[in-house]
Amino acid sequence: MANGMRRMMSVWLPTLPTDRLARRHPASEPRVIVADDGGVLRLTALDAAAARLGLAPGQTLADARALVPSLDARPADPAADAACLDRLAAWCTRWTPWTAADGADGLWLDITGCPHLFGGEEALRDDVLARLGRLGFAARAAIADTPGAARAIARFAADRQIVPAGESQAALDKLPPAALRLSAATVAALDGLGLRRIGDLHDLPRAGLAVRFGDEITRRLDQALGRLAEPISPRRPVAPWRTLLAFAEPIATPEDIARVTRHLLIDLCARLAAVDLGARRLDLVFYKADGGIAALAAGMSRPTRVPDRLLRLFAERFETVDPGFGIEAAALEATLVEALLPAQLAFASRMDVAAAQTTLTGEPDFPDLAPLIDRLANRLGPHAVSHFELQESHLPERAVRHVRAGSTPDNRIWRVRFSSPFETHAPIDAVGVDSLSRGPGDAFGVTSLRDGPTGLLRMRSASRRTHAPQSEEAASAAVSNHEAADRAARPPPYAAGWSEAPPRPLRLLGRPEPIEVIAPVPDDPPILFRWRRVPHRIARADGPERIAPEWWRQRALPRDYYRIEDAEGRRFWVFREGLYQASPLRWFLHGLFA
Amino acid sequence: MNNISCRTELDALRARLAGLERLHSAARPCPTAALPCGFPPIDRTLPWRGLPRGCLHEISGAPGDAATAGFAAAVLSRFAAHGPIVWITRIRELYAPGLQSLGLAPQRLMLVHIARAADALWAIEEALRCAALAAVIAEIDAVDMTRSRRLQLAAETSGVTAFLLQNETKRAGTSVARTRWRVAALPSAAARGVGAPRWRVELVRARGGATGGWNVEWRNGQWHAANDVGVAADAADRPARAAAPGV
Repeated sequence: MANGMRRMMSVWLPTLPTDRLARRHPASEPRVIVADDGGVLRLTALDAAAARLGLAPGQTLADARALVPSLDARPADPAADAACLDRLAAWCTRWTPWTAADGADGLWLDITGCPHLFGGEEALRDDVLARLGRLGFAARAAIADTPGAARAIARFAADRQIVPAGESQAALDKLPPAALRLSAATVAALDGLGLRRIGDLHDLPRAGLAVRFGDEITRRLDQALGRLAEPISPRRPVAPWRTLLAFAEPIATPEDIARVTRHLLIDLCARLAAVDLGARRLDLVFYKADGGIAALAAGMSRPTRVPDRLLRLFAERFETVDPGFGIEAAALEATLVEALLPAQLAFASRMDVAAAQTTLTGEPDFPDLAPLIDRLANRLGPHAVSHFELQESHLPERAVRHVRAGSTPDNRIWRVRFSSPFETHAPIDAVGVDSLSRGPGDAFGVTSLRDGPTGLLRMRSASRRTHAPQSEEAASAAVSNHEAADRAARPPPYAAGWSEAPPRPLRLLGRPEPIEVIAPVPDDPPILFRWRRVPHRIARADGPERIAPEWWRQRALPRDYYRIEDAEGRRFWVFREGLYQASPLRWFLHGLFA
Repeated sequence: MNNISCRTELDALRARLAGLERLHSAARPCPTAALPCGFPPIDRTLPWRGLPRGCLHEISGAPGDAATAGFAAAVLSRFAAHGPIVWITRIRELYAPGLQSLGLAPQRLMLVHIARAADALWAIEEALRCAALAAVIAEIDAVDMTRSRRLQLAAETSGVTAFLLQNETKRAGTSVARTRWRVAALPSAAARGVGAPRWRVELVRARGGATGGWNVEWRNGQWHAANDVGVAADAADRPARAAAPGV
């Protein structure tokens, strides 16, 4: 069998358009839906009252009005109908997470493995029909082995709507061929041939059917009987870890919602703990009594299965959940899980800095900040929490970039990327070590040693030529060797006023702001400038430092940076764009020094 | 003998006072209850011989001035050895190499960017509750009395020090901060060009009654006294520009 042991429920909503309207605008008169068909208004859908009066889809509105003068005709709105069906499919996930819309007026629910949770297939079907009825939708439902069979039985069978496994052929035999989703022309042709039941089709040779009608009949037949697979794509990806809680009475207050969430979290975390997994994304879905759903989501930077910590991530948002007429059921899904071994959990809960270990190079290893990052990121947005990362660019605005916190798997958050282009004449600032990326051939094997009085971290250029040592002893030996060599090679202490690295401002503006400047001679720093309408008289200046643009950008201009100080002591970083002779001069302010 | 017994009694009294003032937090007893900031005149003036940990400090300055952030970064360089630091801002303007030159290692820093003002207090409180941090520094205006008391309580419980950078025109009148500073920029002094950064630092208020003002300079990773007023450069350094037009 191509479909294994699936059980599929098909729900048919015959009067969906009018039912949707009736929820908002109850009908006092028989109601029909009309659509424009080549200039003539024709009926496309009826409600039960109109059907009882003898109207049928396809009639013109004029004819219908002649039969029933007091008709309430509404324009067709297929988009709204589709949206309503989609919402219903979402709401039906309270029984099974695998739901999908079927055409314009049906739903498919894959209930494989679900019925025992609701007391059996019979009880499940009654529950679905009862709740849909309470929402105002007339519905018929059938359960069978395949989507095709279930759909056929829901729409065309008068009774015995639950077909036991393996008996779909017997149930389908009595139905007309139209139940197989065949085109109208094919149905008419079959009718003309006298084949009025599906059972009649079995005796005919398949090759003959294929020649006459193409593969449509055989394909639909095979799908209905399970010989051909017909997969149904669920609306949302089905999470493998899901806990559901249904209530006898609908709940509405935030405290109740919090309590329910706590129960769900405890249950789910216990199940995850049994298999050494932790959750990284959680989706919390509330099913409301009026057919809608409310959903909350939370993401964690590290896999977690501590219920209280996860509850705090949701806690502030319970007030934002609109319960409507009450929440009838709640489901918690873990859409992303990762391995979480028991040993790591014990380490992460210790927040004691005094007991923190030290790493290879002597820097203290900081404990896990993941809970704080999670709380901040879940409320402020994923990009709100970040740290610095050096980038390979000599342009100051591109030299540093913000990296989302928690996206790196290790605690050390400063990663080596490059060495400054100024390395030839002065050691650069700030590099760190990425201990996870050690390996033979790794150029930045041993780095990050604290320099003496200046406190700057230097990169040992010598280490670029060696490959990383493989063992701890070799590493520490390499460190001490490098230190000794460097101490011997270190230039004498600099004279006051001569900085080691090119000075960079404390605050770098997002975009350089244009300023008006009076500068006497082309290569000299300005004497007076005006920024944000405040004039500054310049008392001291340093520079220029020329930063050329990237060679692949043709229209970019080189910049001459000056570090200037005004009469009150405020220090700025300004630059002049362009060379003096070539183009009109423009000055900008790029940053502020402390 | 008398002296020794007096001294032990004094020590016992001091320990009791420190316990009453709750300089040691409940969750994590600080091995050092106060961190010296490295400038002896300031350390001598402060009653705790340094900046007390696990409480609130306020630093205010002129709006749009980088001096407050610079002074705070230089002070925080001492705290960075004890744990990560969270910096909460409204605008993403901090530049890592600039922080480096002030002695604050950028790899110890975690930045939090606040889009709405209402979230700022919540974020500070959340960060103060995380005992793994060494300090939290936030750019926030006008924290009133009740809110600053909540922050002080959170800081005391976890042992995390909080620094609030404020705009001096928008600052609230009273608060429970243990020390309040005002920082202004000063002209630097160097033979040529722009020298090391200099600030006028005033201790406006400290619990324990001390106040004072100092001119400090941050050079080569250390504080220096900057009591020589920076000579105006245009008098000393530009003999040839006396005839420059338009100035």
